[in-house]
Amino acid sequence: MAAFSMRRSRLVMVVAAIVAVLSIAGHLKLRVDTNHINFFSKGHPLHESADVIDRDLSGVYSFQVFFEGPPDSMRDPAILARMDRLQQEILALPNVRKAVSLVDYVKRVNRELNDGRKDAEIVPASAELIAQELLVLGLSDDGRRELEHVAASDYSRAQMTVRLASMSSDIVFAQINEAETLAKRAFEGTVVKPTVTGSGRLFAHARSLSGDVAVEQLRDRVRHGVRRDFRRSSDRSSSGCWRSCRISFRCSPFSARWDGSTSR
Amino acid sequence: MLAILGAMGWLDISLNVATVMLASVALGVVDDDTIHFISRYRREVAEGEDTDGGIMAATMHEGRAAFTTALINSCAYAVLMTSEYRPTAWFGGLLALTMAVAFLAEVFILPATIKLLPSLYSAERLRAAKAASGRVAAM
Repeated sequence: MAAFSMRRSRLVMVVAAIVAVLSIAGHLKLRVDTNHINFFSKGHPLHESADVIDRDLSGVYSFQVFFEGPPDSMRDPAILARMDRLQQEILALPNVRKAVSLVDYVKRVNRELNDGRKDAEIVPASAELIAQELLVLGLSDDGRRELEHVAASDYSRAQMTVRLASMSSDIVFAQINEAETLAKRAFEGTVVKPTVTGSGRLFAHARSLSGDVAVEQLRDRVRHGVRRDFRRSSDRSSSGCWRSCRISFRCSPFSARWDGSTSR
Repeated sequence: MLAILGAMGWLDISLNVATVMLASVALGVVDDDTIHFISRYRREVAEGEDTDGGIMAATMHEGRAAFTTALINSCAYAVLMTSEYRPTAWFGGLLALTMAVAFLAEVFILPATIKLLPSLYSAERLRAAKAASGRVAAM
């Protein structure tokens, strides 16, 4: 082998260069996946149960949109209307199976107090009426428990739970980014600050910790070039001939990309 | 590692909690053989061999050991491919492949590199560098 390699050294290097080029092309197709369901084969019981939950129930994964504002802001009709609109927009996203928020309870109580009329399943325009309906709901133990899941007792905070089907983490990542953009847009100019959080967010963040951002940054740095800074360091050697070689990168500091620009 | 990460891209194997460690683990294992090869080549050259003779001797002696190491490591890591947990199976399979690719790189690319860069690695160049460093030490 060594004799061949010495005799045909140019050929060997050409083949190695072709393999390197093909490998670099393969690098561009590398994707990061932290979805643990995908770590089991199709026939595995875990994979099958996740499929059943995705197909027949509300989905394996979830994330929360957390709303923060002044006390009582969460029962303001304008805020609830925005929350309702946001919920409809999030439900329209692909792979979102279910979304539950305070709005659902307000609408349901309003419908029941109006003889179960379908057209009464809306957010009332009056803040007093909403307050009374939520008070009625909170009078029962079950109702109070339900309310505790979606809003704080002083209505300064609320959350929307969004259920997602099991999927590759890069899709979850994109969905969460999109939900965050929608939430920010929905509450722009109001006193309420929405934050997308929960296990789905952590799950997507694990993706960046697993190396996706590192891979993207490496690509960015290759694109932007590497600045080699050779500098003479007189303090490291009394004779001054010790030369230190520092390789520094010109790119922006390390940051996870939440802007949804990652490929699906 | 370049080839293995490229293969992962082409084979649609994701970078995940297990495969992300592939590079560091593989690098820790396969660089030893290259160091042994270069060390042997330098020793042979220092004892009077020319470039071709040094490469041949290094391949004969260190190449055989590298082949045995690659074979044993590949077989050992390939056992992980039976795992039901796919990241573990991918990790084992890719690491086994890395061992094989590293061995091929060592016996093909390393000698070709030495041969193609005589101004850096030829026997004459190494002997001249050693003589120069000896003179500096004597001063």
